[in-house]
Amino acid sequence: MSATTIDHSPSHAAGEHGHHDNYLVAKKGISSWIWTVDHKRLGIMYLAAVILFFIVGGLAAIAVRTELMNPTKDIMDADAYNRMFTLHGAVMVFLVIIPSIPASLGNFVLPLMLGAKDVAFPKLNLASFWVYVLGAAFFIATLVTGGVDTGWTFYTPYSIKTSSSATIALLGAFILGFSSIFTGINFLVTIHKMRAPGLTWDRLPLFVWALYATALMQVLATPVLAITLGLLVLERTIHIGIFDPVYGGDPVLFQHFFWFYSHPAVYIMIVPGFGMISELITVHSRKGIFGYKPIAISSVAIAFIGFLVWGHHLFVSSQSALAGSIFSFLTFAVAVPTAIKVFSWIATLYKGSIQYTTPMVYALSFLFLFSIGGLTGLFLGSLSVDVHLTDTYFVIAHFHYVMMGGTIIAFIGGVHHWWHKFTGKNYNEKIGVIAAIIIFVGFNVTFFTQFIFGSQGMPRRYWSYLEQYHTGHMISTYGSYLLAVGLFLALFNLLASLRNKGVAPERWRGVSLEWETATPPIEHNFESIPVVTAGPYDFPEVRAARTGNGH
Amino acid sequence: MANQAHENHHEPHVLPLPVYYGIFGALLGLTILTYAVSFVGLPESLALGVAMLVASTKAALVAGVFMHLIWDEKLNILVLAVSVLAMLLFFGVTLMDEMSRGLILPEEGTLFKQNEDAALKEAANPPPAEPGAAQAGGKGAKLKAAAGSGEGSAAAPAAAAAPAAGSGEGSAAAPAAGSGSGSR
Amino acid sequence: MSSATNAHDDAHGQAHHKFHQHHFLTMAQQASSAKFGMWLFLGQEVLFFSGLFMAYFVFRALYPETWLHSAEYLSKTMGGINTVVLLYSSLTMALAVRSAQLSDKKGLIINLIQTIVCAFIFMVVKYFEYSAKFDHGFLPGALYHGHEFIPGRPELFFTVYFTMTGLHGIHVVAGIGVLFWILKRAIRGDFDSTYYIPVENVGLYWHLVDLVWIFLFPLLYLVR
Ligand code: HEM
Ligand SMILES: [Cu+2]
Repeated sequence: MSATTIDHSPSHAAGEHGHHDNYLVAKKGISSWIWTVDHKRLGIMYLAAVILFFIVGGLAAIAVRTELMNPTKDIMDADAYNRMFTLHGAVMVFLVIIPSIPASLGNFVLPLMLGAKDVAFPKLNLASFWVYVLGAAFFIATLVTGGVDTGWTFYTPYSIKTSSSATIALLGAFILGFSSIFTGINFLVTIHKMRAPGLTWDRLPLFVWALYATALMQVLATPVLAITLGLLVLERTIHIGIFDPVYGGDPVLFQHFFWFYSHPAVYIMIVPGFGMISELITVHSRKGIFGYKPIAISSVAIAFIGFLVWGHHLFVSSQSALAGSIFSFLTFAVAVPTAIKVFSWIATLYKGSIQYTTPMVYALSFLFLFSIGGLTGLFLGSLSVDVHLTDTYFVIAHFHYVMMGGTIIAFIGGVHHWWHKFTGKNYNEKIGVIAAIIIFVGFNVTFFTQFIFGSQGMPRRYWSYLEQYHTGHMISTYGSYLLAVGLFLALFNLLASLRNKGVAPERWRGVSLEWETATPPIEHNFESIPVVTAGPYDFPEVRAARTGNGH
Repeated sequence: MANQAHENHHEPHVLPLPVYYGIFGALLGLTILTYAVSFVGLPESLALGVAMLVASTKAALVAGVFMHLIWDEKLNILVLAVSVLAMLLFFGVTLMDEMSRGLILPEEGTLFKQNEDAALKEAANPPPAEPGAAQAGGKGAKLKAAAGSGEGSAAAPAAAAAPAAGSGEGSAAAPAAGSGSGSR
Repeated sequence: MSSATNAHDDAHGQAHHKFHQHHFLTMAQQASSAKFGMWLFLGQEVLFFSGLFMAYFVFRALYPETWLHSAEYLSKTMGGINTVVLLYSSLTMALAVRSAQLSDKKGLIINLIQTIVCAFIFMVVKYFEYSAKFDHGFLPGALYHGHEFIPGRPELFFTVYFTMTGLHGIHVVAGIGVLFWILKRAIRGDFDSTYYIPVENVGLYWHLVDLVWIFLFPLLYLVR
C-alpha cells in the first residue's frame, strides 16, 4: 500500500554498483565535508550553522531582555543596548530565519521528495553555503569592531551617519543575499526539472510547493536588497547622496527599497513554515490534506501579493497619503490566502487520528501562535490603527508571533520530524513533548505581555521606560528565561539521541518519497529511480477510509 | 521526465545567417533613430517615451532572436516576463508614492497631516534663497518637504540620534534643493 | 515513462557523454536545467539593476532641470560608439553560439575573440569618458565639484550616472572573464553540437549586459 513503487528495471543506472553506504559515512574526513556537493551533507551543515547562530542571536536576546528587567541600567548602557538589539535582530533575520527551513531542511529533503539524486546545481549549492559562512563572518566581525546600532533595518539617514561598524554589517548582509539567491535558483530549477517520473505537480508534497514559492521570492526580491545595501555602503563611504537629504537624496526612498525586499522576505521566512506544517499535520494525524490545491496555490498567491504590500511599513514615514491608503487596503488582501491555509489545516485535523507526537505538538503551537501573529498583522495593516501602534512593542509582539511562533516553531517541529531521516536515531518522545510545551508557555509569557504594554504605548528600541511598564517587562523577561530553558531542553534531547547505537526504527510512517529511501539515505538517495503512482498523503489509513466510503 | 520530453537537444535549433545580420542591421538603424531624435528637441516626456519605446524594441529583438527566446521553452520566457513585471511594479508603486506626496491636502487633517502641512508651508516660504533657483526647484522642493516631515516620527534610535538629519535637514534640504546650485 | 526511454545515455552500459553530470538522467535534462538556471540568474540581474533605474526615475522626476542640463555634459558620440560596439559584440556572441551548434570550432573561436575585443574597446571608451568626468569634477554626491552651472542637484545625476554605468562596467569586466574561460574551453575542443550549453549561457549573460546598455544609453545620454 505504498504511495510509490520502486522501479527495479535494470536500465536504471544507480543499481549497478551494488551496496551503498549512507551519506554520513560514504566519504570520510573533514575535507569530504568541507567540499561536499551532497545536498544532504550541505543540509546538515546549514542545520548546524543555523542552530549555532540561533544560540548567538538567542543569547543577545536574553541580554536585551535582562537589561529591560528594570527601567534603570541592569547590565549595559544605552549604547550597548542599541548594539545588542541590532545584533539580535540582524543575526536572527539574516543568519537564522531566512536559511532555517529552506536551506537546511529543504536542502536535505527536497531532492528526496522529488526522487532526484541531487539538486540541479550541486556546486552552486556548495558555493551558497560558503557564501553564507562568509557573510556570517562579516556579521561576527562587527562584534569585535564595536557593533552596529542601527537596528536590522539600517534606516537612513541615521545609518549613513552612525560611526558604528555598519559598513561591515551591510557588506555581510549583501553577501548573505547572494547565498539566498543561489539557493532560490537551485531549488526552482530542481523542482521544475528533476521530478521523478509520475511526480506531477499535483502530487508534490506541500512542502515542495512552499519551497517553490519561497524560492521565487528569493530570486525576485533579494537582488533589490543587495543593490540597496550596496548603495548604502557607497553612501557611507563616499556619500553618493541617493538616500541622503544633504545632497538632495530621499531617505524615505531607502525604506521603499528595503521593504520591497523585506516584506517579501517575511514571506520568505514564513512560507517554508507553512509547508512544514502541512507535512506535520498530515503525517501526524494520518489524514490526507484538506484542500491540497488551495494550499498549494495560496503559497504562490502569497508570494505574489507579498510583493504588493511593502508600503505598510512606511505608514508614518511620510509616504504619501494616497500610497498609504492603497497599501493598507492591499495588506488585507494578503490575509486571504493565509487564512485559506489555516482553515485547511484545521479541517485536516478534524476527525483525524491526531497523535500527540513532538512534531504534532509543535504544529499545534504553530496554529495557535501564527494565528495570533497574523491577526495582529491586520491591526497593524489598518493605517489609522497603525499610526498608534507602530514602533511600539505591539509590533515587536506581532512579528515575534509570526517569526518565532510561526517559522521557528515550524522549523523545530521539522527538525524533530525528520531527525530520524537525518541521523537514523530516535530522540526521547516524552522529553520532546515536555520541551515543546515549555517553549509554548515561555513564548506566550514573553510575548503576549508585549501586546499589552505595547498597546499601552511602550515604544520599541528603548533602553529605559516609564515605571508603568515595569511589571510587564519583568514578566516578559522571566518568560524569555523559560523559553530559553525549553529551547535548550529540546536541543539536548536531540543531541542526546546521537549517542544511541545503530539505526532506530522509523516511527512516523510517512508516504512521500523521502520516506521511501533508506535511513539515513544512501549517498545518491535512491537505489533506482522511483516512479510515483500516488499522492504524497495517501496513507494506508486514507486509502482504507476511501474504499470504506465506497469511493 | 515528462516535462522535457518535447525537447531534443541532439538537433540544435540553428537559425540561418541572414537572420542574425538582419537583426543587427535593425538594431543599428534603431540606434541611429534614437540618436537622431534626441536632436529634434521634443518635449521632455515625449522624448522619454520615444526613447523608451525604441529601446524596448531593440531589447525585444535582442531577447527574441539573439537570446533565442522565441524558440525557447515557454518557461524561460515566463522568467523574463515575471522579473520585468516585478521591476515595473517596483517602479510604479514607488513613483506613485514619490509623485503623490502632499497631493491630498485636507482642510483639517489628523496630527500627522498637520505636520505635513506645516512642512509644506515652511517650504512655500523658504528662508531667503538665491533668486532664479525657485523655478528649477519648485516641484522638487514641495515633494522633498513632505519627505522631510515624516522623518521626525520615524524609528526610535534614528529619530533620537539624528533629529538633525531627519526632520531638520530633510525639510531644510528642500529649499536647498533649488538654491544649492545657485550658490555654487 | 518518457524519462526511462530517454535515459539511453545511462542505459545499457553505453558510454556517458564526457560532460554528462551524474545526477541528471539525460543530456537534454542537463542542458534544459542549466539554461533555466541561467534565465533565473538573468531575472535576478534585472531586479538587481532595477534599484538603480528606480533611483534614476525618482530623481529625474524630482529634478527634471538637473537631468536636462547634466546630460549635456555626457558625450552622445562616445555613448553612441559604445552602443554600436556592444551591439556588434552581441551579434558575434550570437554567431559564436551558432558556430558551436554547427560544431564549427574555428567560427566559434573567431566570434568569441571578436566579442572579447569589443568588450575591451567598450571599456577603453568608458575609461576616456570617466576621465573626462573626473577632470570636470563631475563626480557622485559629496565628491562633486563641477564648476559649470547646472540647476538643481547635479551631484545626484552623476551619482546615478556613475553607479549605473559602473555596475554595468563591472558586468562587462566579469563578462570578459567568462568569455576567456569559454574561449579556453573552445580551443580545447570541448564544444560541439551535442554539448554547447556553456557557450549558450555565457551568451545569454552577454546579451543581458547589452540589454542593460540599450536602456542606459538613451536614459543617460539622450535626455535631450
Ligand atoms: C497576515 C499577515 C501579516 C500582516 C497583515 C502583517 C502586517 C504588518 C504590518 C502592517 C507591519 C508594520 C507595523 C509597523 O511597523 O507599524 C508589520 C511589521 C512586521 N511584520 Fe508583519 N504582517 C503579517 C505577517 C508577517 C509575517 C508572516 C512575518 C514574518 C515571518 C512578519 C514580520 C514582520 C516584521 C519583522 C515586522 C517589523 C519590521 C520592523 O519594523 O522591524 N509579518 N507587519
Ligand atoms: Cu510587511
